[in-house]
Amino acid sequence: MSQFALFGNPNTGKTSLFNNLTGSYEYVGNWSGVTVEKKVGKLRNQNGLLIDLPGVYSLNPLSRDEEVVTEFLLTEEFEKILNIVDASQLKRNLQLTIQLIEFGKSLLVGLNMIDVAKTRGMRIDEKKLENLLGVSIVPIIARSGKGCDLLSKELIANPKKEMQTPVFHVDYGFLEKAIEQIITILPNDSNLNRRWMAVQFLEGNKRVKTYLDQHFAHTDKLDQMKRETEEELVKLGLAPSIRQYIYNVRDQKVTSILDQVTTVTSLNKTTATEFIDRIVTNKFLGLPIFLAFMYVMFMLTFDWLGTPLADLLDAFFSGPLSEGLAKGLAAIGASSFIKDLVLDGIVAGVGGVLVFVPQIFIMFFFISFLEDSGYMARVAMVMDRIMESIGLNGKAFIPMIIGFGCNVPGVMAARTIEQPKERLLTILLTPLMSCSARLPVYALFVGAFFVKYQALVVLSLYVLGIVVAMIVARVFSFLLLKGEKSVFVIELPPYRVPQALTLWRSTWEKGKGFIRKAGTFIFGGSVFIWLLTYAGPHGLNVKMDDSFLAMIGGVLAPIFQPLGFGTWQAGASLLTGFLAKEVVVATMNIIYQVPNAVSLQGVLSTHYSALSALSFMAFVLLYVPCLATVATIRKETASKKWTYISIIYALIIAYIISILIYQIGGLFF
Amino acid sequence: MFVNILIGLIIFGYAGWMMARHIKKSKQGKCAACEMNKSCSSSCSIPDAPTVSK
Amino acid sequence: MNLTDLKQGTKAIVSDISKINDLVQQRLIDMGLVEGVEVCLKRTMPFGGPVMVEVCGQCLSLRRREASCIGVR
Repeated sequence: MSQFALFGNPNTGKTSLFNNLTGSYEYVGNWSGVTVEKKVGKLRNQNGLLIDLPGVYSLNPLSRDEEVVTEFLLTEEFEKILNIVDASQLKRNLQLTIQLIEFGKSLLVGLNMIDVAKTRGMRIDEKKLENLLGVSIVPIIARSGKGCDLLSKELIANPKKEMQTPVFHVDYGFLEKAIEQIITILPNDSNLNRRWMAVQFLEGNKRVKTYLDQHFAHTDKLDQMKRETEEELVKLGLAPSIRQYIYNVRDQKVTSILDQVTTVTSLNKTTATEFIDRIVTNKFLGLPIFLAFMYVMFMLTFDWLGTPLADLLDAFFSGPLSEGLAKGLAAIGASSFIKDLVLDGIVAGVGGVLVFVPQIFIMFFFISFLEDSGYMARVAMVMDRIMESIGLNGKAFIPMIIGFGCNVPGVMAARTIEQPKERLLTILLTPLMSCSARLPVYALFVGAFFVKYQALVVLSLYVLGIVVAMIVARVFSFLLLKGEKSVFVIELPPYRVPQALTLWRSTWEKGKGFIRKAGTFIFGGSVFIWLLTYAGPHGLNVKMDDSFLAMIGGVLAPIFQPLGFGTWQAGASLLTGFLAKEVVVATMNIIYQVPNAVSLQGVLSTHYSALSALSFMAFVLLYVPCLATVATIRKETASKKWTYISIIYALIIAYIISILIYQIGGLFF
Repeated sequence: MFVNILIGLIIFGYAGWMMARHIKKSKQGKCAACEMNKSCSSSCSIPDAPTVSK
Repeated sequence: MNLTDLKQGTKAIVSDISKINDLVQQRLIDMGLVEGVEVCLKRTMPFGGPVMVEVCGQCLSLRRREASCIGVR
């Protein structure tokens, strides 16, 4: 099947288009670096595969997500490049288009956001641009899907046609001699365009250099040529470096093209964005506004909206659903074993987790809003000063916010951070962000012990996670980041009102995972855990305290004694929580054998005090990342050592913090 | 009796299968483990090079 | 004169970006902040935080330390 690859600058709507053309629902957002890896989807008309790649400004990679793109160009087979160009940012976008044309594969340009360009008073003569560049251009609006049909038709039309004689050619003047020389040295065996290779090499493309080092013996000769050329260039006063020179040549070309194809009628200032920015990035209000946003999010999740909804759901599970199931099981003559399994195991375990779906959806809704509105990049900017003081940069805050939803994509999002050690540090810190799977644990405990201050207590747990992360970052960066200067440059996209449909879809896509997990893994876990409570060394249907689970949990209990929850129940639920943090709640529901969350909260108050509940929540927040996160850390750091460190340091910190809370708190209460 | 065995088998079979699948998927990490990335059929390619070079 | 010497909301032409470290320089070039373009200092964050500038109709943010290495006229 033919493969088509999507290229373009960051935040130009590649993934929106990808979703549109393939009918999938990939994750979209309004900041640079939403997509950090290659994604493949089948075109709607079944005529090929479309590959979505991270956004890049040029083909010379600076960060890991950008490396994916150059890697793809060098090593993968595909038919055609689909280059998405932001019409409102043509000048910058065409820099990449030139590099792609030079690559020599057939190319189709999707001119996106023509509506935005129009409102800025820019008119683009597409036909003329088409002729000047020598490639087909289709104007589209990816967000609404306008023009996408035409684009996909154009995409599959003569996919085999190679560009025989490219119309478009950039003359690099002074560099042409060096380019010619390099071309003659390069072997003719690969199907990569040699002129492209030569230009990229001169430009200082690290990935291309590595490729040449691997496939070609005389790279020292190339290096020497490059050095000599650069010296001569500087001596002649043409530019301070080859890279800058090449940029200038391309820029002149782009400017001359734009002069011919664009007409600017009025320079309409984007006033809305300006106005919002004046408030949310205000010197004094910036940080308070972000905190207020978080506060409203927690109030809605736990107080105003989420909890009442969760209570309704709880009432349904414990009332009509359980009763109905009990009657149904009795009617078909099920044994007491099956009855216990279904009611005390599955309904208690799965239902106990599902109850918290409303809270999780509200939380995801806010995160989606943050992502889609354009506020995300501003948060990074507002936070940069604080992040700088702990040795990171504002961009590292984005993976952390994503981590509030799920730590796995949070760890992946760290790919956009340029400096390797800063990236590593961000990966290690992201698991300290309280993900949605930990939310049911909080919801359960605050409902039992902190009824009046639910939102506040949970908010303080989230803040605890952030504060601990910052302290850890300070320590690690002191040990680790010596000599590496932290950098921060970020694009601030214009704000846009998130479309209701997009917002709902991205909330749903995130929340769906939680529900699916409840139906699959939590289900399995519940059955398994119930069996462990049902069976014991002395046979089946034993008393809970004589069960296998009590034995296992009992081994751990003494360790947790100083933290205030030295019971086998706590030990057992924490142990199972490593597989997925929601399981902590499922396990508790099964262990305490109660029909619903309300009565579980009643039972809990006999096993915990408010203080030990707080200590327990803090422990759940901080102790080991879940299995999936650990595996992701392993893949992303490519290091066993750092994976172990991420587990061990989290355990140690969790233990210290919980012991502090319980012991110091005990002095006062 | 037959009903009991059937229900028991179905439940334990499904539970066992799901547990095994979850752990297998989690161990793969990345998108495979990510609940948000169901529609992603990619082969998540990134060269497995050590991140910390110095 | 440096970019950080500008008064908030004023414009100037970039004259020199060669003094910034390599990585930041490449990023800025990528985003269109190169010698000869018009740049506007939109806002500065408190306590020596980053600055927000507008180049070619789009906003970007960078640290004050780096911004102070950008020469303007």
